[in-house]
Amino acid sequence: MTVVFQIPELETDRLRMRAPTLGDWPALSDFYASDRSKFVGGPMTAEQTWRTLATETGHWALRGFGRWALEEKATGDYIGNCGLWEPDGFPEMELGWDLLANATGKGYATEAGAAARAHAYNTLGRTTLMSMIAPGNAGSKAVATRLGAAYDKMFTHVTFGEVEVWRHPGPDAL
Amino acid sequence: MVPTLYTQRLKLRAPTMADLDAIIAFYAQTEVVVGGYARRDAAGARAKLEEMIASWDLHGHGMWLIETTKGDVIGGAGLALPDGFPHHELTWFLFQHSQGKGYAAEASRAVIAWGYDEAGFDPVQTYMRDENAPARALADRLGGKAVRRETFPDGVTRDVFALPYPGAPAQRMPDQLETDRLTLRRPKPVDLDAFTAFVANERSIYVRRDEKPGTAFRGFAHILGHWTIRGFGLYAFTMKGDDTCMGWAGPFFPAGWPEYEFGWHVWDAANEGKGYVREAVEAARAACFQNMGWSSAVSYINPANERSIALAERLGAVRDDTAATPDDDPCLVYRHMAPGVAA
Repeated sequence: MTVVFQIPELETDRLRMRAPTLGDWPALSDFYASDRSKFVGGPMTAEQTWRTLATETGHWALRGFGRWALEEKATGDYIGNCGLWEPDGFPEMELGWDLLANATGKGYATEAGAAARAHAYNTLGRTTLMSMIAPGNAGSKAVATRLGAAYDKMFTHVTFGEVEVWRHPGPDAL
Repeated sequence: MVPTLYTQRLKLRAPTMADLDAIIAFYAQTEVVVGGYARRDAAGARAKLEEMIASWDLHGHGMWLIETTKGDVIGGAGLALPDGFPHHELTWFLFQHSQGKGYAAEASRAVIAWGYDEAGFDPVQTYMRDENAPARALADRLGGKAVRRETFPDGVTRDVFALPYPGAPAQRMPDQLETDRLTLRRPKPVDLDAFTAFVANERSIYVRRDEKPGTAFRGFAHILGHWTIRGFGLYAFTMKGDDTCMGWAGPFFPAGWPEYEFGWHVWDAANEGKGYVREAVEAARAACFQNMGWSSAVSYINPANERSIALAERLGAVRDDTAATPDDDPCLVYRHMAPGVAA
């Protein structure tokens, strides 16, 4: 009867990828209050951000995968989220990433994205993966490019509107 | 630097002169005549606020002001050292509209923990005049033990209570409860289809906007995540021996909620009128009060939702028009009190 779901931990050279916790909420609220969140459903209030945190946690229970909180190993600081996302309304599994403002420019999104992608291919047995990116989000396109992804097609999301689908190299191409 | 303390419902932060209006309002309404919180005029209130602020520099401890998650100041709590007195004391004050909701105990536990951990007091203590019944009741509630009687420089003899380090409150509710007819269990992925049908149905018109973030999937996911984050949440209720979820009922406390809520939804009209939801709420409510140490919780109900209003009244909840609501939507607040807790 108990709802058991485990959020596995991943580790990269510089990052620990762990379950989201309530401790992430203040920093995540700052992110979602800022203009940086405009490509990923924001800006939103701290209260809405709490609901988002709960939704991301529940996604793990519903799908068996989800998005990790990223922790910088050197400092223990929470620096953003990255992982696999497939709520209703998504055409297929997505690899996504959001970094807090002070964590950009260090290659962390690329590092976490590669680990999450490896989890999708090696642990979950997926054979393809895409990232949905708002047309104006140059920063995310640069990360996608560094990960070897390329523009594939447009997709119209019921809430977010027109987004670009960037296709990642499959497991055999990595 | 005054630290900010957080509890599940409250924020304790440094007092500043910008709080003068709130302090004046408190001393204008107070009917408390013991414990130093008797009515004062504006000049007297200002002097008290200046004293609160100065205490932190003078002693390294003092009073915090208490805010709800909505940012309203509802009172204060802290470790004060009255002028000329030999010992610190845990003390607190609450606006009348915020009394009887367990706020004083909740804030005090955070203050006591800080007193042990950061201020180095062992034990943290409180004392009060014999006639100060509310302060004695709180000292009892916090597990305080009267350790001596002492005559203070003002000539008044008081009991001095040692307050233990706050025990960890129950971090979580059981995953399952049983009633005569029902099983209450944590929601699980298999319930998603029934919830999706409910959200698509006109029966869901009274579900608050925030509980339907985007899609039923996201709304359902956030209810599951609420359990993980808080250690409690809405229970799915089913008939015993049949795992089909008929709706949910129980404690709910997302960020932004002024207080703990008991909520309920029956997903299918066929399951109404049989007392199921009342049975489920009563079981969840009793377990919450027993396990979590809450003294009170509320139900937020749309004024047009006659069925829920009737149920709240059958559950013995009492309408509280002074209570804060989650947002600007029309909303009635019905208050549930824990057994034995006086309003």
